[in-house]
Amino acid sequence: MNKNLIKKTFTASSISLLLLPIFYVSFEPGLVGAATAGDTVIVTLVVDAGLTISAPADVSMSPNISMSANGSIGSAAWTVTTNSPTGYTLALKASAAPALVSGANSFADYTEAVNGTPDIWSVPSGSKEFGFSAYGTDVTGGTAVWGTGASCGSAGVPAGTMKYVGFKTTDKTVSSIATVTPVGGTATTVCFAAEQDTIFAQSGTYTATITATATTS
Amino acid sequence: MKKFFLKKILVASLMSLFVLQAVYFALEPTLTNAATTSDSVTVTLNVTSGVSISDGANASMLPNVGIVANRSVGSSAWTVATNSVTGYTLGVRASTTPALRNGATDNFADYTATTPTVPETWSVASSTKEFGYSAYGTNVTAGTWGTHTDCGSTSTGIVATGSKYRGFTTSDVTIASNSGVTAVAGVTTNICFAAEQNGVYAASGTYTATITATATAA
Repeated sequence: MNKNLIKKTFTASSISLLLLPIFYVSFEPGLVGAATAGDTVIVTLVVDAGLTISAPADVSMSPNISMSANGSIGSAAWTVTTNSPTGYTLALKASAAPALVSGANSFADYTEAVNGTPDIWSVPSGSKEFGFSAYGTDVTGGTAVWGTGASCGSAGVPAGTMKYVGFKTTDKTVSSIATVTPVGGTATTVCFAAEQDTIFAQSGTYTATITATATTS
Repeated sequence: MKKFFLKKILVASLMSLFVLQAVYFALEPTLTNAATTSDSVTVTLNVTSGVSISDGANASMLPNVGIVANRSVGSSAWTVATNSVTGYTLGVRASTTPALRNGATDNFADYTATTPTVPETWSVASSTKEFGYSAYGTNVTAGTWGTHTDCGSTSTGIVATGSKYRGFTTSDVTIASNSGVTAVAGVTTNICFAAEQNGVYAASGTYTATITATATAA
């Protein structure tokens, strides 16, 4: 009888010892967790999209065309800045067709071998024409489209490696990029060229109004 | 006969004396206790240690950054209450590195202090854009985080004078602590956020950072 009581006591004690650690492991994380509390906030910053374009000075082509001077060149540069992640496009258009006029007189818009595709400056005999080219970091199509020049020429002669196209009254993209620009922006230089070939342009002051438009892509 | 009688009396007396003394010593303590009796009980109350933290408001930084605005600030606050006799610590961490991101499009680098773990006066190097934080409040060490009592101007985005900033990490950095029980209403710690682009454009869009504050009973 006494032996049986000792056996029962030993068994009960052993079971209790096994159960205690199980209870501890089960509840311990919860007890520790109760000593910490957390919260999350969302911080939001909006970066507005923006686009700027510089305002270059009007262009006076040089030299003057005359009975003894057949060619004239000029240039203007537009600098575009944007923080648009998809970048910008810069396009040019003329206010009139043809672009360069003096009252009823005008220079025809440059005629490319393939309409709309810039090519090396060349004015057919018996005509007088006005066109443009462009160079800069972001010129669309790069040097393959606009040539390899990094200047507009000299002494009224367009740079021989540049490629020219005639103005239209609709936008012609000259530059584009698909990323944010540097804060200082990216400059695109536009070269203007005019030439009379075995024909006289009537004397006078000819003007063309050229509009450059930068647009976020 | 008489002598025998006296001897009997003496023996009987001595035995009576022994018995009386034995009875006295046996019963005396009981009799004494019977005059003043007492008992003790032990009363136990467990005060469970706890800590709570308020729901901090999400922060919309102002003004918007753009091509003509380079700086922005924002703020939030957490109130911590605890009955821990050793107080609490309040830590903050970001969910990502860097913390302030516009998806895969762009991000602001985490603020680069001269000594990364030591908050300093806000200054963003040229050609970089950065995002950092500061803190102020009763349980914030001014020597570490600065002497400011606000986060700066939401009109100009310029941080408060006297504030000190550091960059977020994905592990907790303690911004406030004390070593005792707080008031029932708790103690509020304010956190300031700042972002700046310097000589470089952040791509336009909406940038977010997820910041988690954890209060731990010390």
